[in-house]
Amino acid sequence: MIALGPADPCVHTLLALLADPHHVLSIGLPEWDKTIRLARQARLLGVLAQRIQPHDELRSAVPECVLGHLRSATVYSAHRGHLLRMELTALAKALPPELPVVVLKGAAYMLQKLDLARGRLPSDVDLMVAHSDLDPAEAALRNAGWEFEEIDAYTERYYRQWSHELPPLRVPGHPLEVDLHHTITPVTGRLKPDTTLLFADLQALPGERFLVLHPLDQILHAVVHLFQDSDLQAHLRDLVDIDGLLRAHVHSHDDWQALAARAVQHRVERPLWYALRYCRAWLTTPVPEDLPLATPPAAVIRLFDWVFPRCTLPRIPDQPAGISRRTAARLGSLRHQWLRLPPGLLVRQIAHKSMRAWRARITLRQQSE
Amino acid sequence: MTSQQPQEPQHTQPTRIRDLPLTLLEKRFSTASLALDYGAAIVRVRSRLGVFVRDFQQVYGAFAVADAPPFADFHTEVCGGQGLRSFLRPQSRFLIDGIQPFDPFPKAQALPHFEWGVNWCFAQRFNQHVLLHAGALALGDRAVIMAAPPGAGKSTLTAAMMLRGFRMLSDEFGVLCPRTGKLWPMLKPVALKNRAVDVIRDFADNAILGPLYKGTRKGDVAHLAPLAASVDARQRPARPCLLLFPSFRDGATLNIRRLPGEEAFARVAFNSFNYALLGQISFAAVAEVVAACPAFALEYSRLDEAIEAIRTMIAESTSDAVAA
Amino acid sequence: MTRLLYRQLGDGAVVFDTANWHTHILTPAAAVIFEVFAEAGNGDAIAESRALELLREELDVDPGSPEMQQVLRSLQEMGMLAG
Repeated sequence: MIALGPADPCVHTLLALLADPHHVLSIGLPEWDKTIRLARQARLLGVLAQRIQPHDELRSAVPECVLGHLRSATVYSAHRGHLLRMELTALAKALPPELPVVVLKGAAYMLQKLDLARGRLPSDVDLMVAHSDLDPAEAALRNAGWEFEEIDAYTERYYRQWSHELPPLRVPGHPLEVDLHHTITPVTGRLKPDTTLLFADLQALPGERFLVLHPLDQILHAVVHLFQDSDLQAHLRDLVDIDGLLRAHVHSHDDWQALAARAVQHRVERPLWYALRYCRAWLTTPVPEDLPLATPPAAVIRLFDWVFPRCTLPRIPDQPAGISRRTAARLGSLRHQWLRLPPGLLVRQIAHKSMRAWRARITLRQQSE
Repeated sequence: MTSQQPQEPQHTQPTRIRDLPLTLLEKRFSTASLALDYGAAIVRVRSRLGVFVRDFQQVYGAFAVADAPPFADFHTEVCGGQGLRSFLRPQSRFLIDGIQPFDPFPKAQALPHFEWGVNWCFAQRFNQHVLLHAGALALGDRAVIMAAPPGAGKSTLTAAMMLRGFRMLSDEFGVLCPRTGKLWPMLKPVALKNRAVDVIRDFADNAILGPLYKGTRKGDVAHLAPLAASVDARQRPARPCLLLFPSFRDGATLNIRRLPGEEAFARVAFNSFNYALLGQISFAAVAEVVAACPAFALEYSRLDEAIEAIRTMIAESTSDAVAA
Repeated sequence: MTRLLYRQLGDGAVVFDTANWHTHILTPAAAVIFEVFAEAGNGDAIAESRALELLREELDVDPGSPEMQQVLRSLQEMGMLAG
């Protein structure tokens, strides 16, 4: 097992539970106290609940006070799932039927009825259309009541020029936002999956208006998302998604070979290598040893093994972050910025953000005086 | 739910918070080895704010002092303001899991801030129960649910009923367990507002009221401490047997009107904190309560008269009654 | 009709629509109409013309009154009426 850094011992408990819910049989109340908090912080409480609750013999081993939290999380994720379904129904009505529209991430897992969708907390709706379909899709949504959130001109320019999505859209009063993408990664990012390949292999789902990515592309999208598309902060749940997708879509020797080959085609070999490393180590994902993926230099692996757990694993929320965690978070955040934007742009982005921070501070001072 | 704690044997007197010397209480708060058992939830609290601890002792006096339990539902902290600002205008902040969900209060109002904070945590995170916006009281294990919009005098009536011998389950949350159909106590001090403070002070000699906080967001507020009888039964759920929609009107003669089932359903469901979130679960649970409990609108001006009427209604209600 | 959960409370009733999680409150009159339509449809939606006919013939009410229009709109939303 890869060292978890200064993580609370109950992080082991959480990982063990995610890997095998039978672990509930060996947990005492003080451990539950922390494990529930860690799972909630990682937004994985609903997932945990759904892995335990269906089994009578496991459920009966869980103390009543803990079960309450699991039930609550199940109710909440069911509610979020319902909201997502309602939003998809509304979107299906609003979008012209001839326009091919892909659903990504949570919505795709739900429409495919994958096990990993159970208890998962979907946040927003991610849609993808071909670049040439962006304008008609945007027009159709705005016609049907979706509006852009109010953003300043800089942010809007950033979205439109450099991002892989439009600013978030929302119907006033609707609880969920819609993100309209034209590819799965930022235009300026260093990782550039092959968009033509993505669109060539889209899959229809019986009885559904929306398309989904090819199963292997779903995995690679989640991998890219884990390493590039989010702040390198507390995204154990992304790793849990990857684990769930691997278990759902990849079974035979040939499947694994195909996944590796697909990663090479998309030029995301390296991120896949790391994702598989941590999936296997932390979530006991059955990853074969002999995949045709190039191994990174040993020194880089050592660095990654130091940074990744510190940025990824949840911590007991009211205990202060240790120095190593803060350092790792900064390294992670810098790396995130660097991966996303070309260097010239990075300077501008940071300068703009700092300016805004200054302005906010000045406003605050004026208010307090 | 907190069934992991064995129930106190009836014959031993628990040590109560009011019996602890203030310095000891402060020490427990500062090390977070103090946990409050509200019945439905256990809340761990850390604080170094002297004013908070002092006020807390007054309104939580009857609560038992127990060693910090191995499991708590919420981990909270009440602390002072941050930075230079806190010297100019002392503040209190409420944290749950290290996060500050809302703006600070003036330091002197740390206790109302805490009360508000616990309500917020509970309403956010306890979706295993249907959380009715209602007072709940019981005679034995038969409970009345009193739902009313703010300003209808629900808290005043709840407080008065406890002082006349009802067991209070809660003033704010009717905690309905959808699996058992029973109400869990969520026993908190009753926040009395404005005129209600003097009404309750004059109503009974056994009323223990905390300090009066002037000019809070909800006006002048003081808390009525739950009595020991209610506190000691906080782990005993009760079965709902009566639905009541009280309204206070100055000078009104007592007026009780039976409500049709579907109207009672609407009033209970749409006054709940999380009815919509639970979907089918809360639909079934609320329907079950309405089918089992006769429902009445009750208009009153004299507390004792209303309380006697409620006592009679509970005695007469049979648990299989169907609203006409 | 598995989409709708119907619960009689006294003479009135409440309905939960599992398709959109809406709750409908039915007065005693609306509850009778619901039950008549449900029986006539035997688990399926009924045609609007059939619904109007049932209202006039079986229940002797005027489908054009504002109250009936409101009840019909609710039943339509619940998927009780086809078309």
